[in-house]
Amino acid sequence: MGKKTKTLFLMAAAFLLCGCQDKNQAGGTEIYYTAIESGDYYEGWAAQLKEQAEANGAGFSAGYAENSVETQVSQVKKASAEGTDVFLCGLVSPDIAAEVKAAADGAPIVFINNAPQEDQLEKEKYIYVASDEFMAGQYQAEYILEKFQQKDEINVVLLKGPKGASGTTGRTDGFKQTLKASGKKINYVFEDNADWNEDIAKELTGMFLKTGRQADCVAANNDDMALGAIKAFEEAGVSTDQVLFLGVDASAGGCEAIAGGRMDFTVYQPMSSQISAAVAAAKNLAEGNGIGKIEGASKDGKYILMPFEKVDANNVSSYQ
Amino acid sequence: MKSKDNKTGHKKFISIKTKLLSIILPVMVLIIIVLISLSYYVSKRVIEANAQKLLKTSVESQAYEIEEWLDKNLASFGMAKQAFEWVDLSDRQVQAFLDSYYGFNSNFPGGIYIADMEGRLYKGHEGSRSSTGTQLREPDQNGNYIIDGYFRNNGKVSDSGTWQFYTALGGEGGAVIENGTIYISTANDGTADYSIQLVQAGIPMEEGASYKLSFDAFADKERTIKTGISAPDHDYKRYLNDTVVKLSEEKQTFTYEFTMEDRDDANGRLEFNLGSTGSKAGVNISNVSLVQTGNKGTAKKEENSPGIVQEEWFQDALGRVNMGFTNAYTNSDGKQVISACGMLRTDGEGIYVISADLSLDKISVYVNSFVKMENAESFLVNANDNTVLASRDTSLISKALDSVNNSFLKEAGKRIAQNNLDLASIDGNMTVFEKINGTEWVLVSYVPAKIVYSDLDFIRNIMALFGIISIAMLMVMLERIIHILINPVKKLTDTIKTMTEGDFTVSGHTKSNDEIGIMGRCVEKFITAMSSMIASIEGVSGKLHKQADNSKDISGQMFYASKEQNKSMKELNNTVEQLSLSVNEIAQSATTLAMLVEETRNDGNNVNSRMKETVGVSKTGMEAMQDISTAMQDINSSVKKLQLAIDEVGTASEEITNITKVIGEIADETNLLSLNASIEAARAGDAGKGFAVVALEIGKLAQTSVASVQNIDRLVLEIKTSVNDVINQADDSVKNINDSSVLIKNAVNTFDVIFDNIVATGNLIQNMIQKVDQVEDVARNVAAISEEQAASSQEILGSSDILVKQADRLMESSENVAKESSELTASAEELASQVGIFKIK
Repeated sequence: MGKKTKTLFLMAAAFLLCGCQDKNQAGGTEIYYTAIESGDYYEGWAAQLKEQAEANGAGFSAGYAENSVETQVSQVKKASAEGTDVFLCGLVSPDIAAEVKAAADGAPIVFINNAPQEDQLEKEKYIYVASDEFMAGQYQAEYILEKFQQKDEINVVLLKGPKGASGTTGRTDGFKQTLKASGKKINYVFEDNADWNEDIAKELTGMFLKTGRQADCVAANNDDMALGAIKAFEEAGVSTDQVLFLGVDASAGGCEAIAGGRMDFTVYQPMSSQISAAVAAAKNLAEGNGIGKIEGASKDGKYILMPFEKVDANNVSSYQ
Repeated sequence: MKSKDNKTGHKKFISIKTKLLSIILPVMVLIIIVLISLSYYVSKRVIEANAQKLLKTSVESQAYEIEEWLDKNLASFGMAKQAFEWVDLSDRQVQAFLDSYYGFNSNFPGGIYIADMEGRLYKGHEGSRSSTGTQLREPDQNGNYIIDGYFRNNGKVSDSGTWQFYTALGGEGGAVIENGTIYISTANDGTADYSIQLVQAGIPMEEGASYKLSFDAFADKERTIKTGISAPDHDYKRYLNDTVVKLSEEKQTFTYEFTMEDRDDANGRLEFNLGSTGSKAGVNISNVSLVQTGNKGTAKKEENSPGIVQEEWFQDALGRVNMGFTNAYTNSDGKQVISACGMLRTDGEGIYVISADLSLDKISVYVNSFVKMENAESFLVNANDNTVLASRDTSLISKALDSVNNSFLKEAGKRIAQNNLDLASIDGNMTVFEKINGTEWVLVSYVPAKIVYSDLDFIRNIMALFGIISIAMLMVMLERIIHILINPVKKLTDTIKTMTEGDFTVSGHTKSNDEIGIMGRCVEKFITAMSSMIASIEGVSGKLHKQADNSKDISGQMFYASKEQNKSMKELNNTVEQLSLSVNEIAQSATTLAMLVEETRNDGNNVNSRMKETVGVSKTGMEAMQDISTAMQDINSSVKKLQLAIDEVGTASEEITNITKVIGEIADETNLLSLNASIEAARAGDAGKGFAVVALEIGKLAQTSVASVQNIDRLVLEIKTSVNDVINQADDSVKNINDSSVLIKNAVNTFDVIFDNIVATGNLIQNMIQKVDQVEDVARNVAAISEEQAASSQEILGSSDILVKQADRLMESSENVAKESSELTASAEELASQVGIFKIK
């Protein structure tokens, strides 16, 4: 290497170092969270995200799209113009991911709350942080298989979330595929969409009970639906002694039911770990670093999926 | 080293052209091959990716179509279901509702049906609907649905019109209506029953109605015909099965009754088939009529069959409330369907199931025809049990993939079972899997990879062709270009080769304007310069040759001269040596003379003293007269001896004189020779300078020698005169002594006189001693001079020795000069011959 080249190289390196420093000194990463709508749930998300962002030394602001595609896009545009480095986005609709990306004007986006189409994701630029829904269904199935080791044939009532919702698909796939892999004969004696709703679940289960079919277990995509099913059983006077009731979320009601012996199993969705992963990912993307070191990151660099935790009568007290 | 040099020097000749071509061509070929391989590889990747993308897009769009279609239908079922849930389920209302859905949608032409746990089935029916569905025309006033059944319109019957006459498959014949009868003649009965055919289409057929067909007929000869009613719009399904009618020559009335079991059809077709019976007998037909003898009536009562409850769709429906799809199955009509079904929400205890059959035809269309990639095929699989729902190969439908004897399908089935739905290459097929959302169906689309690569093969061939052509063109072009560029070098090489052989008559001129041109021009200049140089060398060498010859001659002469000189010098040397010897001898003689003279003086002194004693004696005694006489005699003899000695001196002087004469002559000659040598030395130039000085010295010495010799001569002459005087004196004294003795012997008295005489004698002796002293001085002088002369001649001898040595060297030098000038001549000759090699203009 000639002397001249060396000098240039050193100068370039020095310049790069200075550049990095400048960026860091200029107030850190600005994060903008565009939530699907206002209300306790998403405001709770925003509050936790903010806390996490500030703990990481990043600026944070949030907007609520109120279920309007236009509002969401214009919020993102405005925030982008005001110098947001990275977006956290709860898509109002999975179909508008492309539009939101355009509005973000090249800033990286961490999608949360609602999954975009897979082809809208891009390695370490547009990523999705969520719970590993498949794992939730898998845990339910594993619990059932463990409890019914002797049975060769299992009658399953499956209560699902709304058709097409990512939670529904992921949890149902995880559940069904795990059961299928067991090689046992699985009869889905009842399978319907109860739309996360306890009352609908109760009504549907009531209808099922009228058919006189036998059920060994009721698996629901969330705790509310499982509770609805339990109510239906109880109201119809059908014994739940030999029936397993399984939910997802470890909601207060779910945990209470497990503690009270009415429900058998749920999985805990650790929101805080999702939030910290989302903020960590946002910060890494804004700084141009990869997400590979974040726990749960997929190999293709498009997903960070946080694991669930199993909750049953043995450990429910720690989740109440 | 030398042998190696020789080896490299004799290396095989390889031309620049060959070298250039052998370097450039492989590199070019390599580059082209690399480029083509690279672009082939890139094309392959692009084509592969494109094909994958296309296939993926195609299957996605198919899946989307199917999804949409399913969703749409499910939505409309959902609406219907909701409507049912809102109304009170009185039989009449249910029936009306169901009827309104009958034929409402082509996707589920059978409409919606409801069943309960008791097996009661409520089903819509067309018959109750007038506003929609098939329009059936009314019969004539006789209830006859056949138009012109009585053949009132005479004339020839063609293949258009109310009655139509057809021939096909080799059938030949004609039909004519006359007097209420149609006559059908057969020229050739063909190979199929419809080879000769009389038909009337557009006859309304109502589902559930019973009909009576009647006609009169006879034949020219006993034979058979066939009659029947078909459905041209429904694959020529038979409403009245083909019936053989035996005709005789007598007119007979034939009547057939049947029930229309299929759905309403406005286009029934009455057929009379006369072909392929083996008979060509003409046939007469008249009074054709088709009347309805009864129909099912309006309301369809619910059917009651407990078996329904066990049917697949019913069992499936019990598993959900919201409508969903069953697996594919064959329904009671024998059709491949899927049912959308679910439980109705009711307040009471009773369970009602609502269901509608969707024909798989539509899905088959999506699966089989909506493939957007050429040569690709799709099939739809139910992932639950791996059965095929739709495929172009209809034999696969409802079969499990792993039961099919086809490794591709088996592998695809395995992947679906493992939920491994990534793009894969199975059995040489590029295969993609796509889940249909909302179902457990997987759409599989595949295309044989070789079809994908057929384009690639084409590209590869084109590229290979292009590569070969480019290489060939490059080869030719390079060869030409190098040839043109190198040609001047070749010419130059020849020129230089010729030059190397010494021929400078060639020309290095070249037309090119590049480095080679400059080279050519330089060679040209070089040739010119060399030519003029060689020419001038030739001139110079000629002159040199001449000069060398001259120098050889002169040096020969000089050698000869120096040889002569040498000889002379040697002679001179000898002479000087002799001269030296002689001078020594003279010196010795002179010394001897001097000694003698001294002795003589001593003797004289003795005589003098004795004379004084004699005077004393003679004064006293006579007796001693005798002794005196004796003594006188002794004196006489001594004088005689002296006389002799002096004579000898005279002789020696004489000899010296002679010698000095010789020396003088030699010195003169030496003087002459040295003069001569000086001249020669001057001619020899610098080499003779030393010699010239010697010659000059010799000359000087010779002159000095001459002077010395003359001096000696003079002295010797003086000695001679002195000696002659001595001799004369001695002679006188002898005479005197002789006279005294006579007087002494003869006269004592006279003694006084004697005494006087003796005193006189004493005086004479004193005189004589003086003379002897003079002689001594002369002798001493002679000796000294002779010694001096001897020293001089020694010097001359040394000088002439040096002279001889110098002359020797001179001789050697001139010999060398002669030798070298010979060599110079030889060199000049060689130079001349060397230069003679070069040829110049």
